[in-house]
Amino acid sequence: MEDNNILEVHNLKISLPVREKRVMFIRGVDLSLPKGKILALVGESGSGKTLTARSLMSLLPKAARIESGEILLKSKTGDEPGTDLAKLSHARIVNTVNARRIGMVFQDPLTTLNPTMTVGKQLAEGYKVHEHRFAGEAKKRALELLASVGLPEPERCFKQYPHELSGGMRQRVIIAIALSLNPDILICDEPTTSLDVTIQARILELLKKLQAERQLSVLYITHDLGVVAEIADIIYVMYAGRIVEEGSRSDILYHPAHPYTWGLLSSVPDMSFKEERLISIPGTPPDLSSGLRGDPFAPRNAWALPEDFEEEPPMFRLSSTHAVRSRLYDGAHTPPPLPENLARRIGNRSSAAEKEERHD
Amino acid sequence: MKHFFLKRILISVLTLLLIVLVMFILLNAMPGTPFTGRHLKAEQLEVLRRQYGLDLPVFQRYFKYLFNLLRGDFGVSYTLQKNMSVAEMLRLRLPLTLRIGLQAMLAGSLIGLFLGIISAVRHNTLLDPLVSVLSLLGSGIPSFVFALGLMYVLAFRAGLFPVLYSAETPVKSTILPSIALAMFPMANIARYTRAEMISVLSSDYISLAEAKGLSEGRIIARHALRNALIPILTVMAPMLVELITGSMVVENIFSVPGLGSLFVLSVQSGDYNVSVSIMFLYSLFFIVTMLCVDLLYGFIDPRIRLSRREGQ
Amino acid sequence: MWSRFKRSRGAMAGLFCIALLSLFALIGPALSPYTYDEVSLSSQYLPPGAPSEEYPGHLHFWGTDELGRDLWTRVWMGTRISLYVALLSVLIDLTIGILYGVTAGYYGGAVDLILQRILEVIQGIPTIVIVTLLMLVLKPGLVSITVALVFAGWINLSLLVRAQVLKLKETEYVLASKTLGASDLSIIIRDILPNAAGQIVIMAMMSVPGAIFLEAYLSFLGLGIPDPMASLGSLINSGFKSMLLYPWLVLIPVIIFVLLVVSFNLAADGLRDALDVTLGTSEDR
Repeated sequence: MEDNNILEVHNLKISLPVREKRVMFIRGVDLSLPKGKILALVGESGSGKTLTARSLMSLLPKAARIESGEILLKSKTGDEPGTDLAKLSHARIVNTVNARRIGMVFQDPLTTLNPTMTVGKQLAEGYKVHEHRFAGEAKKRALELLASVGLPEPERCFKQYPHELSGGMRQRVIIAIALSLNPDILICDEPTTSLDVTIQARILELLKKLQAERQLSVLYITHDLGVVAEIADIIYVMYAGRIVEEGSRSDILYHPAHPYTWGLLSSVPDMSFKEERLISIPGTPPDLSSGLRGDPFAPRNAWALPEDFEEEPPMFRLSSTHAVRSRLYDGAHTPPPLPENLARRIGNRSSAAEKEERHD
Repeated sequence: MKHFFLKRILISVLTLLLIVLVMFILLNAMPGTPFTGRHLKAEQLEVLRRQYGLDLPVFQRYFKYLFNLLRGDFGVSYTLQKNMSVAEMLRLRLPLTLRIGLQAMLAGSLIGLFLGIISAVRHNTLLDPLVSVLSLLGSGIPSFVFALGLMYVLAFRAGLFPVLYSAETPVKSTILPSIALAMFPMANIARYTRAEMISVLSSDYISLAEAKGLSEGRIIARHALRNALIPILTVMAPMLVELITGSMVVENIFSVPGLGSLFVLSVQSGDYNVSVSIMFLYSLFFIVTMLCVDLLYGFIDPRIRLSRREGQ
Repeated sequence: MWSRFKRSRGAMAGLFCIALLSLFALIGPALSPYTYDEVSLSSQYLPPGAPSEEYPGHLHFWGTDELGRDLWTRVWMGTRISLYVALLSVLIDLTIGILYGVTAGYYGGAVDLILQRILEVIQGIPTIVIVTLLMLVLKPGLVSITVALVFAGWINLSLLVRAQVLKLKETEYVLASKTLGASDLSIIIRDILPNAAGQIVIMAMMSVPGAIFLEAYLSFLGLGIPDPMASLGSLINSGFKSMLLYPWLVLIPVIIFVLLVVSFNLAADGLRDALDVTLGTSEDR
């Protein structure tokens, strides 16, 4: 394990049963989460990003199975080599890793809280169970936490049932629960997708603030590149159960290399190009259950090479931070230039970003 | 919340009035009178009719009937035990029926809940299909078949229990009827519990509880069960009806001197007053239970409790 | 949907059993030379497989009862009557249910409000109470038992149809038909009922075993089909009286009865699962 990484995933493969046969939905994922950074895992729905994140906390569906791979988690002190979570039992992970080492913010705040338990009870439960604290002390801690996630009336909120709170407030409660036992890693699974746009921004602000205050390492899952641009230090792009491009924020946003990343970036609405038609990626994601041959993206890829239909390309390293799964960069081929309208958008955006940076 | 209470109580009272009305109409529509076939002279008949209040106008008779019922006066038996107060007959037989019914319901729901929970939690093991088959058979086989089977195997062949009810061994005698009656609620509760638990266990808040690092036992006891219980409660109430139906037949099979066997006797001997009174008692019991379940429901589910509080 | 149904082994077994039992209910009595009410006092309580006295060369496959009547003939006759009564009552329930559900659900408003209150009151009465009270008044027979079963079953189906109609009324395609100026009747017949059909059929299928059950209970209480006619329930009842000496008299009708009820349950479950999946819900997270 590298020194500054808190979590590393190596060649993770996860299968689920579909019509009585097992289908590999995660087909060998590698990722490294450096300490104190925000890593964004980006992809369409069905690309396997949620499954990957859930496997870290043993929250997979019952029928899912980790077929191979390692999930290395560095110990709290950082001097031991790191535990392989893939080899621990479900009960062991739930008991020792969840909440204490890794907290999770879920996608839908409306269904994530237990409807028949007060907010306070759900929040204080972790303290009582893990730290054997008395009710009074647990409540005090819970109230502090509710205040720190920006809930205006912690006392009142403590006694309420989830359905008495708005979606944004519930998401704040869930964030408080995720942080209650001071984990060093926070997984956010599309935490703003089901919220109103104005509330989305505030939740995002809150997450950024908490990350900075607590030096959290964050795995942020989203399909929204706007959000990614806002918060990510490192970006991984996922397609059909594999990482197709990884790099720093500027690598991916300003120098994207994989045709799929190009497609993703071109399909984001951009305020400064009102007149322009949005470009969508042709075709649909592959059906993993019907068996794969070659690069799953090749049928949708205008730049696909003949050998891509035969065999999936390996990752090619472009710089110390940037790598891409495409034969266009194997040295034998000349990488094509960025599609024209994407180049224009990036040029526009980067000059705006430079201006902003100078302002700072 | 108060509003809801009142509405539910009002509906229950209306239901009861309707039942009494139906009973009254039926009693009047029954073929013959209690005095047919006794070769009475016209004036004797007239005296009897006046004595039993049968000469009053229909309206007055209805209200008199209703009033009597509410006072616990169900009239007298005409044929089974001539002129014995029906209330007295019921009082003597009620405890045994209640005992068997309660034993059955208690055993049935506890075992059913237990089986449902373990088969949902151990969803992918052999236990699950086993419970499924069990509950399929339990809900597909009527209680009288169980009663006959138990009687033949455990009582007649093995001699472990008395074949028919005997007043000398009252406790032992109620066991087989209770088991026979318990099968249906057990099977159904197991089935519903399993389905509910599976859907609850795959819900987001269970993931949250796991993410909080809670143990499996705590998640099931504190988070899953309470949410699964809410819909299960609603199916338990109709099961009472099945239990009532079953008790008539099962009591008859084991010759248990309870309400059910009295009912069958009264039907067969045409003692309508007794039959109708027993039906009234069953309805009253059912209505009160349904009312309690509805109110309990409000207590368990805060969403209902609060939405009603706010809705006022 | 059919392919999903076919994949469920339980449901297929259930369907097969229903078909087989129905077939025998139709032709079973004709396979023996006896009629269901033919009394022969010289051949009482014959065990299964005993040769017949009146018809040389024929056997009593399942023996005879206390009046020397052929059990094979009586059991299949009873199956026929149990099935007939249950199916007929469910069919009538269905008709009432659709009429009620459409009126209350589609037109709604005050009509619905009043009907709902009435139903709420009626629902408070345990069905067995209504049914037995009814049977006390009516002359025992096929018609009265069917009426009693209808009384017991119509409410559930009505409520289901109403709920379905309420749900479908709000869908886009009904709205589209409305804007195109379709009449209420054509909307109900073309848009609403076909889409509610799946749920309604499942519910109807699920209420068949209930009706068979209830008929058996009534027969068992002596309120059902009068002798010499027979239903599975009345056969079990009369067989039970001599169960300890002549167990086949009760065992055979019980086996047929349980097979029938379990098959209907299995088939209904399979149908529900098949429809559920096509509606896009599954057990996985």
